[in-house]
Amino acid sequence: MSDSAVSAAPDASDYQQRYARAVWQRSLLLVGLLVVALLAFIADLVVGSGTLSFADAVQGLFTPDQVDDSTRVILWELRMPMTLMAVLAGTCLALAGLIMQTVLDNPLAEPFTLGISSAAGFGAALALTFNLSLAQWLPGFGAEMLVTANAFLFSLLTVGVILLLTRGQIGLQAITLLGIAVHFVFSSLLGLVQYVSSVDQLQSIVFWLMGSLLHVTWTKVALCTAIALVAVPLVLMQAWALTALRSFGDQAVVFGIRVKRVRTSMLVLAALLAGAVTSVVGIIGFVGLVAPHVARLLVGEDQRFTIGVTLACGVIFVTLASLASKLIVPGAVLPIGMVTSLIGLPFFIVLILRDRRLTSR
Amino acid sequence: MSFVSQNYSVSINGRPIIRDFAVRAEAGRTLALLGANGAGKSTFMKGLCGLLRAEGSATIDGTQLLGLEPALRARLIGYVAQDMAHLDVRLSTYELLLLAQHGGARGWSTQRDSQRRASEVLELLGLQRFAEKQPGQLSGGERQMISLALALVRRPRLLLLDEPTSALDLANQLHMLEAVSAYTRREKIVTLAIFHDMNLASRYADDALMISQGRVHGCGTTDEMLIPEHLAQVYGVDCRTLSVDGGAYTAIYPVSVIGA
Repeated sequence: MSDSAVSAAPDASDYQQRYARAVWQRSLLLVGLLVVALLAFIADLVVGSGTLSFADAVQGLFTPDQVDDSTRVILWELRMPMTLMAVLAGTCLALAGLIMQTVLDNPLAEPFTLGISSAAGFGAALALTFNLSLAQWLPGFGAEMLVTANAFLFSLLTVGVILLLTRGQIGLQAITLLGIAVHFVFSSLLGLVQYVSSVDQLQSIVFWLMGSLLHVTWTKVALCTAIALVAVPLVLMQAWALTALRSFGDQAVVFGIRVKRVRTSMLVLAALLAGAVTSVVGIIGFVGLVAPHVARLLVGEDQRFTIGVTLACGVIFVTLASLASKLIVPGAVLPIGMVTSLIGLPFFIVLILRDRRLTSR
Repeated sequence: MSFVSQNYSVSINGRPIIRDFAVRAEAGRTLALLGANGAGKSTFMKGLCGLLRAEGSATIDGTQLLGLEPALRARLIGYVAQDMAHLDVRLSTYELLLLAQHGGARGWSTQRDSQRRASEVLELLGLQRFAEKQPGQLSGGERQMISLALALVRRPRLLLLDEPTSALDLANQLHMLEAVSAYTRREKIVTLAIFHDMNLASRYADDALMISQGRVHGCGTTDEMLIPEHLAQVYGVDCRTLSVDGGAYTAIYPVSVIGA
């Protein structure tokens, strides 16, 4: 190993330079993806089912005081919250998915692994059917927010219950299995609520579960923005710790990581992110599963870049899905949750088949 | 400059595995941890580096290790685990070496110092050709060398090696242990290493701590400890010792299991 290795070894400056170049390339790629995300954002904003022309939309976007009232209302009151929500959904779900996959050390983990989707669904169904909401005793929640707040509180409840049951002592597989158990509990309860609800109520529940940007308001956008603004920097600050967790698992403690604390805080953040988005737009699947995988294929496991690229991929994915949901059937807007799943599924199958780690054993 | 433990105990799920260890190891020397399977050697190490909860006292150069912030403890201890030969992650060796130095840090930057140190360690262990390889592309033995590099890159004062040569062929066993003992002497660190091969312990360790059923059986120089009487008591094996190279080394030859 020693003599021949030393003579054939590359000079330190060689691989250091190549590493510096790789860092540059990853940074450039991240900037490029952010530009694509911005273009997708603008495209989603200017394309809609209304009669607004492309030129009017662009003008209304950049100089809102020079367009007529109806253009301004369509653009700023109807489309802007929806498009911003698409961006937020992409950001939050992709990040929550990355956290879940990293913390649970499971490539198939996603934002809803701990049962958040069915819990949120049950919370929403309770509010839609019985007008019952955990939030109705809280001040400041109007009727408009009742369903959202209930879905959000129930989604947080899942992680609270799981963390309480495990108290940080039980292994990752147990947390994942408990998540599945929680999922089934809330699925059954959701089914029960659906069973006793009226036809109209059932329709509302089904539409809610499909995931839709149609009922987004500025208040709901503000709620998700606030959570994203808190969570994204907190996750970015832990980039090294998450890379160490991803690489060494429990042994990351040897490299100076407070493994339990990082895992718990990250799970709570993931629940907040996924819960907030799901409570507003319903269930949007596959983004949280696929975006982190794409990011890893593009920039590897260094979470300093994986996090940013995951966010950008999530935003691109959901805004393009939102765009597609308006274009597939002219004059109608398909539920976005359906579109992301349709786009995501073949992509997901290709990823599984390409991953030697998943197919080799 | 030394490692000292007193009343040092480690439990797993409330069951005491290591009980009241009083150990002293001097700087610049390698202490071999010896004992039968299940004696508590790995548990002893895991308690020191924070993988298991330990009680009592364990200090390096006077700094108490137990209860120390993980980030501070990581700067004092380098640990090569038994199962690091299975390390499989999509980061290059060079990136892993940077990560090992920044793990406990917040933010994004890599310091120039840490890049220099990463190259220094690769050179020290003759691993430059693996700099851009991922662990998954390397053999088990090569990965074990990478994990040694990861342990040394933070300039630890205490180096813990849990069966460091278990995945290595004969040449690489010697290569690794030469590197470890040279580094230990030159940097005047304390190295604790678990061995199952008595001949490697005799060849590369200065001192030996014998552990039996979670307690200290005895501690002394390898010449004092690696004698048939202790080996019979700790392993239950009848051994002979042979003097090699005019007394430069002692070879240990196991003859039979006592009572078998």
